[in-house]
Amino acid sequence: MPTAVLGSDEFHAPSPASFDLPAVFNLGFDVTKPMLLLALSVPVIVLFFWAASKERAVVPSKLQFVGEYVYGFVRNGVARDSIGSQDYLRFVPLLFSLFTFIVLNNYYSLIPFLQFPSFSRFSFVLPLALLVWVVYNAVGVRKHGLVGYLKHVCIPPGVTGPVLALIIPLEFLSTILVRPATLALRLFANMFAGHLLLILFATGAAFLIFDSGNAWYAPVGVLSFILGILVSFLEVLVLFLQAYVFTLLTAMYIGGALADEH
Amino acid sequence: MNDAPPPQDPWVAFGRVAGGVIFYGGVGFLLDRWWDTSFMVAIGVVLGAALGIYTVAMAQREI
Repeated sequence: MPTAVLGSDEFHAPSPASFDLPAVFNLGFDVTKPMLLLALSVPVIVLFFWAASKERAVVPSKLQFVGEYVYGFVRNGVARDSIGSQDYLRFVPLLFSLFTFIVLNNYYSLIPFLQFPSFSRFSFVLPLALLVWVVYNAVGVRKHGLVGYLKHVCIPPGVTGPVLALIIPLEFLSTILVRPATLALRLFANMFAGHLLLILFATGAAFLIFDSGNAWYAPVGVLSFILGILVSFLEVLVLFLQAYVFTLLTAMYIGGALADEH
Repeated sequence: MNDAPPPQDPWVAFGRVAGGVIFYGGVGFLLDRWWDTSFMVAIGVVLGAALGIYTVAMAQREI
């Protein structure tokens, strides 16, 4: 927490420990801020889209327009383009929920007082990635049968002959193990690193300006503060992009599992 | 935009190389333990990466 830095003589650089927030209250187990934020995101999303779709006017209000725009973006821009126009509709609810859930939890990072991206805690990302893993494998097994799906997964297009025996375990690992791992790590690491940078610039600025006890450091502190603002603008982009990438890759994995034999 | 083939996962190349390194690196590691050597893991990692790149190239040629 930034407060740990203020008032101390020495600057403590933020570390992974900065993400271990103290419990807000205790219900037999500690309830922490990211847990509350995650729980908060569900009513916020539900209320927003309930309000946006309440009127269903032909000439939409601003709110309805935004709601429809987000829905259309996921439905057409992500689901239809990656899964193909035959099967995509039944995956839209999953992809839409994933996208809105992740995007809101990411933007917590920049909302004053909330200021914490929930998915900078790996334990929140992992279940999402496992869910995606279960979905795309189940979809593939359903479409091709277990043996057919394993063939689909293990035999890459364009490889023939004896070398195929060497490729099969590699291709299996790449689809079954590496995919969910990279999916989870990408979201987690981006949120973690972005938030760490913001903490560093903010606490660095506060320390250099107020606590260093050396007036010459103050201008550098101002620079650190400005850099923090600039990184915040970068984060505006990254927070959206990571939610988009997660959803897009989910759609692509589903589309790949559904694809006909190469 | 209707029935164009779905775009390929751009990370598939990374997955293949990483999968090769993990699998053949793992095999090399186990062989090292078995034979009490120390170089099989390196051979495995390089072989795995090479096979991964080969797979990416072959799959790309097919499309």
